[in-house]
Amino acid sequence: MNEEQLVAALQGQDPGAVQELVNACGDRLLRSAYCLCGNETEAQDLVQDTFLQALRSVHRFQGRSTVYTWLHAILLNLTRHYHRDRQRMVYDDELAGREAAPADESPGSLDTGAAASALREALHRLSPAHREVIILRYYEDLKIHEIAGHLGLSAGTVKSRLHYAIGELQKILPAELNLFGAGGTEEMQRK
Amino acid sequence: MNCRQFQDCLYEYVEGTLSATTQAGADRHLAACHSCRVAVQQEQQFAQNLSARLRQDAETLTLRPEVRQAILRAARRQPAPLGMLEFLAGLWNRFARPMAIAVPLLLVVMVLVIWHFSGTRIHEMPTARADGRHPPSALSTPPAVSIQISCRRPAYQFRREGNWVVDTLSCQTVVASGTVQPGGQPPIPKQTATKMPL
Repeated sequence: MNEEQLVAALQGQDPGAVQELVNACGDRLLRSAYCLCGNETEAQDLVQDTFLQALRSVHRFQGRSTVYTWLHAILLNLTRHYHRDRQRMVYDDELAGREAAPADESPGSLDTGAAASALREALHRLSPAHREVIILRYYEDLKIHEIAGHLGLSAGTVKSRLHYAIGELQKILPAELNLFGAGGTEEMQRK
Repeated sequence: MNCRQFQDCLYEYVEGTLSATTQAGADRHLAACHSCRVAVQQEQQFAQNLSARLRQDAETLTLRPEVRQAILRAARRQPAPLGMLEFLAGLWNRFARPMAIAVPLLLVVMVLVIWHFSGTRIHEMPTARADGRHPPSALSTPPAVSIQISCRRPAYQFRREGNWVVDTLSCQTVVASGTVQPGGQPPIPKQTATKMPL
């Protein structure tokens, strides 16, 4: 079933089409949601809500983008609400500092688990707008103009957000992660 | 192309989406600029490393069976998409309340505007000129209008009965009537009054 047939079947409320959609996009969406929110349980909930919202509004889908891009746009929107709701919770700076501490203080090289944890923590400390562009570019592998179209922003704004987000990551991430290459951090700071 | 211009298109250079002309300019600049070459290498390295880390962290995740089941169950319960008539009915219901407020307000405003401007026109109606001739529009004199206005006016009367003061309320209807000739002097109304106990 190609995308057009899949959308037609979804609009006709074919349960088989829903199953196919979940099989085709579910895991990929989940991984993206996990990168965006940093918590697997929340990611599973977000993906479930994404599919439910997509099924409610499938009759409005006009085929201007791929089905995955459309689903991902819904996911991004839900993730923004998720972050907004989390911001309304009482936030304890001291606790946040304590949570962030292992990433800042870990000496020597990091093992895989610690590196993943440090990266998650660093992404979590970015603003939602900065996190979105980082995930779209480096996880979803979208090009600048595609990110701009996806987020409804200008290419200049996307590049500016990327620039600041990378700068933030440089400050937050432990040097042992070595994301910027050998001597990259010093070189970039010198520039 | 200078360093600043190159930095502006660094991401597009790395992803290979520059136009042929800009790409050629960027290549010429890179051949001569060490720091921009380093910036390109850093961006490539960062993209490669971050992408690998993110994938490594998330690659084992799969959608839980209960989440899949919940989505499929919800899909089966999903109501049929709205038809055109239902869509229009929904639209009407959505706008009925604001319309119910807006329409009377609009009518009141329209009445006030019409009343205001029609009053102005009466004041500005052409009257007889000093030479006694009437302007063409005033030649047909509008007919006289009879007006009768009435109102009810309460009247209290107090009388003493022993240590008590007793009041009686009666109502007086005052009627004023007259004839108004447009453009002429207002008449002195004739007044009649009838007294009725309540």
